[in-house]
Amino acid sequence: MKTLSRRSWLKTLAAGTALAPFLDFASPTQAQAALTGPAKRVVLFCTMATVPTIWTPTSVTAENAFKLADSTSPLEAIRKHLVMIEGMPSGNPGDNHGSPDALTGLGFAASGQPSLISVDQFIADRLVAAGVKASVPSLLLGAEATASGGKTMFNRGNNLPTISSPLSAFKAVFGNAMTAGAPPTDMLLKRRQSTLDLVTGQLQTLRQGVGSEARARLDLHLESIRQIENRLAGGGGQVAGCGASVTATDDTTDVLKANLVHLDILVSALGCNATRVAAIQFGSDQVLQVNLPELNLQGDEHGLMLHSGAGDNFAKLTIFEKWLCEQFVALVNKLEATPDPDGSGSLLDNTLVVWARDMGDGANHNQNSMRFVFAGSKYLKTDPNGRYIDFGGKARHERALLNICEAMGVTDFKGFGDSDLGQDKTPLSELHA
Amino acid sequence: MAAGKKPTASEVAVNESNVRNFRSPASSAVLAVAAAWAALSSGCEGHVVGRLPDGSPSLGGVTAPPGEQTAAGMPPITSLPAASACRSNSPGPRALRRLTAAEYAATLKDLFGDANLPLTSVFSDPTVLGFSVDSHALVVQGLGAQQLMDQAESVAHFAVTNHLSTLSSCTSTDATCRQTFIRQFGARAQRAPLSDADVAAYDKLFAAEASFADGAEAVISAMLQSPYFLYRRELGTPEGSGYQLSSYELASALSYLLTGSMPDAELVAAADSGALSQAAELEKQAERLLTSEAGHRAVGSFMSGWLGLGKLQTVAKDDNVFKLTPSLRQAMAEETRVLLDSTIFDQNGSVASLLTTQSSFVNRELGTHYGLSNAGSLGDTFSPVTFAPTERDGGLLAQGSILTAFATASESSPVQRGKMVRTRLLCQALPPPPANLDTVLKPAPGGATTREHFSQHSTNPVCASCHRMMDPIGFGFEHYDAFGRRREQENGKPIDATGSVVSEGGGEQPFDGLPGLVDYLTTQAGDEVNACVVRYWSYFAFGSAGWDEDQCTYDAIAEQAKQDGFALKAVAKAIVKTARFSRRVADP
Repeated sequence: MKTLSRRSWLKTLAAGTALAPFLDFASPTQAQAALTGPAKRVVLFCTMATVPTIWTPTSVTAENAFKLADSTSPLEAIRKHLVMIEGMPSGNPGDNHGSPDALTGLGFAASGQPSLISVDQFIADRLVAAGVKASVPSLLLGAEATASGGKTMFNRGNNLPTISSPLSAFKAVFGNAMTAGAPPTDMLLKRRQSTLDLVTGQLQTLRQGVGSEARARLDLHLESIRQIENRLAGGGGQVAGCGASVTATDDTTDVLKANLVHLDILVSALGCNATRVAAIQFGSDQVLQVNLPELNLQGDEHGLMLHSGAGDNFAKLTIFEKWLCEQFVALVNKLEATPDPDGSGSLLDNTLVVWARDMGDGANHNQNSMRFVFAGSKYLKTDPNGRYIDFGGKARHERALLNICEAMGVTDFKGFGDSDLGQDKTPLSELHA
Repeated sequence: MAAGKKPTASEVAVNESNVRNFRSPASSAVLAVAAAWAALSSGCEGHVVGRLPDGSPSLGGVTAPPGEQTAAGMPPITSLPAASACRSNSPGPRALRRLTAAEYAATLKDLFGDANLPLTSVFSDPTVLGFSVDSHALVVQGLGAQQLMDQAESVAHFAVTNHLSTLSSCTSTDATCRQTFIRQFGARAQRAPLSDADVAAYDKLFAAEASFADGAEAVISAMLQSPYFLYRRELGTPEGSGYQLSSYELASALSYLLTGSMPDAELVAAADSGALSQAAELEKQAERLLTSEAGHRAVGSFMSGWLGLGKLQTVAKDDNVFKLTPSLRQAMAEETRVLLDSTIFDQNGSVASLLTTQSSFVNRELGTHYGLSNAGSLGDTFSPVTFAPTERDGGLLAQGSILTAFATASESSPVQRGKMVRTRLLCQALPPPPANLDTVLKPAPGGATTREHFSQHSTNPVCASCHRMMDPIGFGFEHYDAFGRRREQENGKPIDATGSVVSEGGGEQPFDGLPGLVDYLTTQAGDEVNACVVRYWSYFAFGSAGWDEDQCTYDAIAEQAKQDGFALKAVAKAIVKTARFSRRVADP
């Protein structure tokens, strides 16, 4: 195993590559060319692993002839949009949960390497490099996803937090009380710009007087401010008056309820072109407090449903997975009901929705068979009866991540995933329409 | 294949059943993997299921090398690094620390003197070693600056609407009034007087606005986005071969450590006069803040992170075994909070006092849960009780909170309990389970006790190499089930709570039950336990788990606290007296 020592990391810093290492590596040709993928937007729906015995379809006679398992039965409602896949080992199939594998293609061995980037961040950087306008390069939402020592599935060198508070997410995307949903006045714009100039100056002064580790943190802060400046300069192309239908509070006591608000924010943000890359994370890899009294289901998914689940044959997990399926269906339906801001059909016509999980088998703690559910966008090859493919261990799961890239028009995979994948570093041809 | 490389899909194909069904026979290396899986795929929580072909499992979690720190861009540490030896009495490096989420909220409320200030949660920081204080992990990134701007604008608007008269003594838009406001409010917001250049910069912002209220709002908003508000500075000014923290930096360091918020007026006055740079004044202020209401809360916050008490709130419990109501969960938390507070502040107690006390504080609900014979005489409030040894063990380790938190949904967990003692009380690092390890304990045969169930760990050598450091300690807790209830039998068999502490050198200290374990922890291992709390409290205080020559600081704290019998209050005060607290060397 290879970890990055502090010394070599500092060397990287000194070379000036660690600040925004992902913004620069798009090749000049790709940076100049507009990305022309069949999907314009991507949504990642991220949950803990399930267990294969309750997920895998039954009575499979062809890829479009299968019966959904009980835990996925609510997906029946959107069957024509579905492509369900499994049977793909990760690069580190025995990694414990919390592994960055799922969306990076790289496991613990790569922790801390600048190349450890999840597919959402990789695509977001490529879109920025290609000049695709989005007010928010990537929108990562999810209540309490880093609490209790847990991790999200998103990485950029380090694990990235999601915005926990729906209210804070709402304000960040749609504007705060100062603007009350309307475009800010010239006076307010000027005040904000002057404020950011002042704060940037202070950060730069402070930066001169501290060591390299603190400098790296201040550089992240400066980059975060540059994103605001880009928005203020109208670089986002965001439609005004967004988010009007969303009611957000700061309350994250009920994680699932908060996440339903996050999903509303997410769809609104896509619908008004505020972002092209969005994700929702249900809990962390360690903890998800489930509070669904109507289903007689209360407690931590990880401890209660996965690791104590075998006793009741995963009955509780099945109930919860069905609930998650219902939210996935609602998301797809909402995207279908929302017009695309570019004027071309519905959001769903242009959005690839991906249900991803941090492990393959949550009860047995392994990643021998990663599984995804895809829906939406013209990229996917679909069937009126839905599609289910078991790759039977013959394809690394990173290839499904490359499909997401390809759907978004990102076909140069340099800098993403396992550099040793060789000739297998291609998207799965079975998914592409 | 080089270390860290993974087999590609063409080299290895694996399906759900691990090795039973290899689709693509490949190199001998792959077959070796298969053999390893096959050999080890039965019987223990933690068998190796997929060593890499070169035999090197990639470890889950990365610990920074001794004496080195986690930096932005590096993964957070997952265990305390070994301390870096003291060679030259170095106090440690300068530091810049973003306010924690809790400090940020508390500071805003104190700054405007409004406990009901409407705030939105902005930060969702990682938990590192049980705390959210790691300076290397506290960053502003992504939409963070936007969230901070939104909050700053909202708070500034609210403050000017509701508190302008207390924020400024004048409201005219002339330069004198503007700059008086900027200097006065700015000194509080930035926790140090503003330079003339800073005043000029804020005044420019102010002067562009139409009214005093608008100007004040613009300035407050900017100040709340300023790094001088958002970051704690422990940079100092050059003095001799190192740096001396200013009296304002000391005031901030003292206040955030002991109250979790910005300096109050009395502390600022001591900084203004320069008195705080005198050791006696620093000590006097430390005593004052430590014993304030906020001081009690700050110490409680450290204790909660150190002992992992937060886990009680999230741990899953199986209602089929016992219905743990939210009210009972809260009662367990409250018992421990009161016990800690009383032992530390009323009795000037040490860790040993916490471990050995026979007294606690319970209400009727908890007393009934514990099966106390006098439970019926208890009320809703938490009253002092002394446990009869036949009824229940005393001390921190027998608290319902800890026993419940460190257990699975349905049964006690010798692993979690042993690990807690090993890592939190003895500060001994346990290697993280190798990544390619199945950590699922196989179901126990019917009628087995928890102890018998976990014996899988000692019979399988792969498991035993690590679990011998945890399980035999955890067995000492076996008189208490997953809900903290005392038991003499499990599945009809008498409880065996004998255990042992295996030392890193290979020695073994046998003991019987919690009294035996506590005896070991407070006598033979007493120095280690005291050193361990010093280590964690230093992490909490300095936001860093290791730095060059950090052992100098730990030694100084231990030596000082020892003079007061290692009372926990003395540990907190000793931190303030270290060179690390007021002096620094260059940061790398």
